[in-house]
Amino acid sequence: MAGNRCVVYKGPGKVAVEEIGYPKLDLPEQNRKCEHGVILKVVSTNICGSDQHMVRGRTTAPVGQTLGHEITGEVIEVGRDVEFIKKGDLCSVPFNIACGRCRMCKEGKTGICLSVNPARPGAAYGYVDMGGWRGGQAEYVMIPYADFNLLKFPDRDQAMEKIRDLTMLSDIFPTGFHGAYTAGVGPGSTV
Amino acid sequence: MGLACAASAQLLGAAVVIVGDMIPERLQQARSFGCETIDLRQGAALPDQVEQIVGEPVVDAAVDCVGFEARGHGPGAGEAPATVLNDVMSVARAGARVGIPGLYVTGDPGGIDENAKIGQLGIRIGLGWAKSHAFTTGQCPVMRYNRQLMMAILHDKVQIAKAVNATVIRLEDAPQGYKDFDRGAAKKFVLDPHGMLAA
Repeated sequence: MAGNRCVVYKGPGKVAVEEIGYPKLDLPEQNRKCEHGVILKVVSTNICGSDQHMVRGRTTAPVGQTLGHEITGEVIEVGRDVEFIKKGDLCSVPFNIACGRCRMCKEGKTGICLSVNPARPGAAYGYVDMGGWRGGQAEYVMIPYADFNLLKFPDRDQAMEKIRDLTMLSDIFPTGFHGAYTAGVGPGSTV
Repeated sequence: MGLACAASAQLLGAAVVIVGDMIPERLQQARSFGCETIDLRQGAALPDQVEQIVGEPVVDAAVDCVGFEARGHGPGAGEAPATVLNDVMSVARAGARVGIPGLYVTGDPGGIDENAKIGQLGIRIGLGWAKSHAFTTGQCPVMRYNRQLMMAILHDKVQIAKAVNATVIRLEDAPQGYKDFDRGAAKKFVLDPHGMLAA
């Protein structure tokens, strides 16, 4: 079985790359298989400014917290109930984990999904208080509700050519765009 | 995220995009793709600096891309978690909408006082109310935008990697990447765990 090295928080100002075990299509807290999930081989994964809050010791992140929520990868294993995403698909992963079934997801408010974090609305990979999902600054990562969450790139070769741009779709680009869009920026605006 | 927001504002058709920062490297990066910049280490009042660029002391739209670890500006200023929010209100015209993708938290063990430790900050809501500002908070619901932004990338309508200065490093080098990023490097570090991006 392949290993899986991941960036891990080791206390204020410290991170390390450690073996955390190859991901499984399991939901241990719910004591069942994650048949709606996939395993991704991570192609690119970005360091986010919000990771810095944890690493500076400015959150309640415990030592051992796995990091990484800006993930792009290739599907290498597919759960039984995944219908549309296929092995070999190259996909961008929205950093918000969303079920696609709850009231908030149905309204398109995937940042406050009600099903993926027992503690509060909203979840993310590898982030304190965000549901306990494992981080994606790793070689491999499990993505739940794959049909709903993943954005498949139309053409693999074209995508690999522009991967430095496409890797920004998991968080920083949409988040920056959201800031401008919700501030009402349009043609001719001063910002 | 500020640089991504600036590139997004350009994509949305903005006439003028002003980036304020205290890190010269990042201001330079913003200028490299056509933004105006304000060096917040200078003591001058923010509305005056905005006026020098757009001819009036206000802008149509303002965005807080910083969040709760914000520092006050001017020489020797310390952490001031509400400063960016108060600044954007001061320069957003009456009736403006304010985007707040910068992260704020409910628990911050390193907060500057007891209030900040629970995410209660000195926001001048009276000013925002008087100017009828509207605020959008919270995580970006990525799915609302990612498909369209992917199409903009694939059809060369935006150069986001260039704007944020995407810099590919090995997974093993992540600790160094975190250090450099923390010191204010104007780079967006992209980890490459399987060596698939290495140029």
